[in-house]
Amino acid sequence: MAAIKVSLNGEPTDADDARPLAEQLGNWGYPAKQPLAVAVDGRLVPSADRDRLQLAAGSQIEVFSVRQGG
Amino acid sequence: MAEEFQIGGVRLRSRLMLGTARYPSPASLSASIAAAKPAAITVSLRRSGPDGGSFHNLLAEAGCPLLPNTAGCRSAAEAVACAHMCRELLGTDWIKLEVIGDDDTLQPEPFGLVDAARQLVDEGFVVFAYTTEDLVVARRLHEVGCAAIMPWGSMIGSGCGIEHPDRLRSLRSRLPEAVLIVDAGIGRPSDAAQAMELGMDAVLLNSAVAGADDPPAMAQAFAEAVAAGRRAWRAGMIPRLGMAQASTPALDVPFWQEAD
Repeated sequence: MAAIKVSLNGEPTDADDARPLAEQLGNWGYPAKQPLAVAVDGRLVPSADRDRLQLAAGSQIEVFSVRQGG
Repeated sequence: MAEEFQIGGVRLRSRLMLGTARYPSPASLSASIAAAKPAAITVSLRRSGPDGGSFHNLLAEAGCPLLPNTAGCRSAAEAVACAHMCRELLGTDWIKLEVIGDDDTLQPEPFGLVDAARQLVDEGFVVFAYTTEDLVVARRLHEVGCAAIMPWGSMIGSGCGIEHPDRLRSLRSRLPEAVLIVDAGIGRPSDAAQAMELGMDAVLLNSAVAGADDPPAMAQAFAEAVAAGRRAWRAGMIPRLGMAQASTPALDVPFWQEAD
């Protein structure tokens, strides 16, 4: 287990390379039930894969939710 | 008999689609949706912090189909990636495809648009493609399998209405099988009625309702205008003439002898 630096929505953020993405999202404050789409390094991570995916140092994570739009 | 309107196999309850942006409050948005009874409401995808998803809950209560957009995307690759995110998040194959080519006019980039449309249709998306009134681009979008082609009436958010009705008339005439939805520039209910009188299948608007003094009342006005315009299109309107034609029959006019 090691602390790593990643990018979360463009901001430098701490993560843990031994925890899967789903846990990291919880650590960053995202409620488990919040509907989200997550991309890592520009690629969509299906929700079913978040429990398995582990981040690497420098990973760029983008978290999206639905917003008002025209 | 009531006329049916379907897109992608889904029966829609009206021919008005409503955007969800820029309302003065969530309550105003909810009341406007209730008043408009739209066929679908548009939403977008944005980077998000942990906020509990309150807007998601509002959408669930709205009870009508969601049409996520790819607003802000400037290339086919960006738009396709955004569509994937939307499908993951909302569980719908519907996508309002926007590929913007100019930041000032928000005019679509037609080459990337057609490219993205083709990719998304191949992946099973039901594509609503935002475009201009350009006939050739619209035809290409139809050929690659878009479920709806969405020509602008005028620039997004401009409220300038239907700037080139002749071009929309031409689209209707040349693409009789295509679903045509005017997507942008609608400012007043009369603009929406005009679009429907030109034979468009539906109208999508946002700013004209969200920016009104009373959004729910304006939403109701638009719903009525769209329904009236559609009814007029189906009823068959008289041609415009360059000369007067008396509506009262000239035969047996009183005092006609004196007039002579």
